[in-house]
Amino acid sequence: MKGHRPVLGFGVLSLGISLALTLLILATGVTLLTDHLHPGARSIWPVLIFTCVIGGLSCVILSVLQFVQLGALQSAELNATVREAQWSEALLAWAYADVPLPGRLDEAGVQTLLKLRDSLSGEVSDRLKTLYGAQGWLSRDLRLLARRSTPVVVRAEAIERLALLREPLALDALDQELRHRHPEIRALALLALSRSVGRLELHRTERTSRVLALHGAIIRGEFSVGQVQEALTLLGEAGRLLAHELLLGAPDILRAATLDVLARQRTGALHREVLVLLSSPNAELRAGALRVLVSSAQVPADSALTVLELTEDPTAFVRLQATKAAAYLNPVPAERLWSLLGDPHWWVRRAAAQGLLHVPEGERLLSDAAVRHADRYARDIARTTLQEHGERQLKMPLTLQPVRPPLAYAPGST
Amino acid sequence: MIGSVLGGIELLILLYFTVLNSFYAVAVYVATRELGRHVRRRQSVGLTELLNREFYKPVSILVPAYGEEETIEASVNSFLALHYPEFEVIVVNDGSKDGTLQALIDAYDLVPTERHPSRVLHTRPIRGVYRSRRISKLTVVDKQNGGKADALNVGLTYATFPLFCAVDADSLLDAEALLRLARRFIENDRLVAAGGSVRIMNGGVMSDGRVTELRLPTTWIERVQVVEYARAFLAGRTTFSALGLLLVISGAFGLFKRSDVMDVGGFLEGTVGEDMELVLRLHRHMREQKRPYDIEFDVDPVCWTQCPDNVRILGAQRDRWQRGLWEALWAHRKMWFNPRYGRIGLVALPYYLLFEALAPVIEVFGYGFMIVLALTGRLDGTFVALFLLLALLYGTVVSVAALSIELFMRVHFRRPVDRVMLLLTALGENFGFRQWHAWVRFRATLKLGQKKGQWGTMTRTRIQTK
Repeated sequence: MKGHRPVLGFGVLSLGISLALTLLILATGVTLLTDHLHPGARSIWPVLIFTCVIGGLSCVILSVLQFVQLGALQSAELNATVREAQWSEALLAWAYADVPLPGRLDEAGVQTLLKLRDSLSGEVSDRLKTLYGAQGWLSRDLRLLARRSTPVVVRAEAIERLALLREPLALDALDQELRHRHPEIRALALLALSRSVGRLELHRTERTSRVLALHGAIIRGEFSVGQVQEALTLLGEAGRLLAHELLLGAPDILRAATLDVLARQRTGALHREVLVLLSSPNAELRAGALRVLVSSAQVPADSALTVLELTEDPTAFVRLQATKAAAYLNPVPAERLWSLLGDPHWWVRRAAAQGLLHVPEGERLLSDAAVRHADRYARDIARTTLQEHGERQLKMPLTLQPVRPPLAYAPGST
Repeated sequence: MIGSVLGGIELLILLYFTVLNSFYAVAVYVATRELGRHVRRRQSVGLTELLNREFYKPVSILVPAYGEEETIEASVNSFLALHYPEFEVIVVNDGSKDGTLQALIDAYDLVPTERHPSRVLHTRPIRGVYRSRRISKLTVVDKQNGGKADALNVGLTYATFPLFCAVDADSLLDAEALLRLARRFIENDRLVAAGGSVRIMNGGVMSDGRVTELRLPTTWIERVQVVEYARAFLAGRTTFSALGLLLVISGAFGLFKRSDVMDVGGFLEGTVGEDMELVLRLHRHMREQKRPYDIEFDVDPVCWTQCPDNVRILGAQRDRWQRGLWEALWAHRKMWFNPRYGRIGLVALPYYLLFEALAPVIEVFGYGFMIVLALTGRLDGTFVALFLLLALLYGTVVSVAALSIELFMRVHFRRPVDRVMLLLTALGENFGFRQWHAWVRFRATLKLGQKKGQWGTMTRTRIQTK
């Protein structure tokens, strides 16, 4: 980022000049308009010529500055690439073979070190972290965070470095930043903390206290739902406690967001808390809880009845998730899935058809449904699902199809 | 008496351009400030890791297509190659008369499939739905011709993810464009729509369906549009967004919350400016419901589009844009100067009405007025000088400033010869092109209500993907 500074300086300078000149022309225009209302008081031509010259000159200056800027940009990019390559080589040689560094870490060196720290693992990565502290950069960052007068951009850069560094000594300082008045700083601190806690092997007690601190900040309502989900994701295993707390006591919107993260993580953890939400009056929560069960491919036997009831839920997206969950019940409720093939919603029909494929005789059931199901749309979805399954075409003119004995629960074809 | 009337008209015209230029001055200032924020913005932390840990908001990409036989494969390839963890591409063939559908069938091994999503939006009948044997995230819907808005509504009906991205079939998205724009929805719960920059790819060097190097197009008409787009997106929309006044998210690249768009009834069928109309309707709906919301523009995610390379097609495009602008404004005239709609009703809409929709009328009137004055021997040299100063010179300075901003974009014109030509274009567009453009838009204003919701005519150039 530092490499951008001289370039940005040029940019701000050129645009500043542009602004000054445009305002000058505007002011001149207003002056001339005033003069236009009282003609003959004095000749305005010198002013007009002056304005045109200034306008032209501003274009020339801006144009020249663009070329200076272009040159600076290209040279900065080239320089940054070369410096990064040099530091990368030096740092790796130091970390693996104790080859002395060419000098103290400068900003390019720090950036390279942090990238390496993030991409490598194990002892080498930890050595790089130690080097960062030994060269005084960690204490510098902590000082910047401790100082109230540190500008927001400088503070954000320090938090970003600490997020990449993942240093236990920085966690208290990052914790403090969760209360910063600037929302971007708070969000960055949340990200840095969750990233660090998620990756560091902290003692259980400390990990719990860190996660509870995050929970407090989240409950204060200082973050967007997306940022909370991001934190839960970055925390990984350590995020289970946070998810547990959120599922128990957070507003519905955060509980739904937590269920969404759990579903994406395809985890079977927290099923007890999740199962409670199957009976929630909020359809989003019912569907979210079912989605967690579906993604983990585990539907506890004692919730089978609830899941089956939810396949009749008045909300279509709840029925959809319940239909998907039903396919993971043991035994699979084939009869219920058969009737769901005729659900008014296409997605539910499709889930039911795919669910039937989980049954040992699934293909046969679907073949049967394709010709015998009472509902026309059920026959369609059965045929399509079979067609997609194994990419084979199902050509079954009704009159020529060999007749199989209908299943006990399959209503006769209409 | 006549003299004082003429003097009054002169004064009104000059005042008009003075106010317009005042806005430009603010725009340059705000864009500069936003640019500073943009360059400093932290985007490196966690981006890759988030991908690895599967945190994202899934996106449906809607690609309405009409007569895109030449470009559809390259476009769809670019959408399928996006650097995004979970998305689906829904191409809607709006009854193309050329071989668009066949090109898709051949390129992606499409086979017919059954799909009957809930038809909550009224659209023209569907002729067929296809899935690809090779690419599971691609769906193609073939429908009767009904216009772009109708095609987008069909796409919306078939979309399955919470966010959807409306793109033009002749456009290419930067690899990380979607990631950057979707990131805004993670950071801001109130966001209902976000737009990215649209830039011109004519003349650019492409590799694997990506624009890798920008080069200036060969024709003058294309170069002028490069300057125009830089001015409109890098200065104009950045400013509108920063002030909470954004009324347009380009149809070529915008990301929307699907549920909110469904709540307002999708895209309005029969309009030519369906993108602006939708954003206006979202503003209206949210404000009437008293729901806190944001609609933003982000300069960084870039969509590349082909611009017309001849005057005839460019004229038709600008004619359509002008009619679309008026249609959208007229459909929501209830919001004009209405304090119930806050800054949208009191600032944004009056601005668009007076300085966008009426601008060509006033400019053409200004030129005509000067001609009449000259013919009647009443032409005042001061008025001419002031008119040229305010209408032309100032615009040139703004264009040059916008080109300075362009340098900060990730992909920018690097060759000095291109920059020289761009600067000359910024100077030269005021002499000839600007007057022609004003005339085209003026004529379009006179034709309001004559044509309804049609696709633009555009001669496509095959996009070289290798």
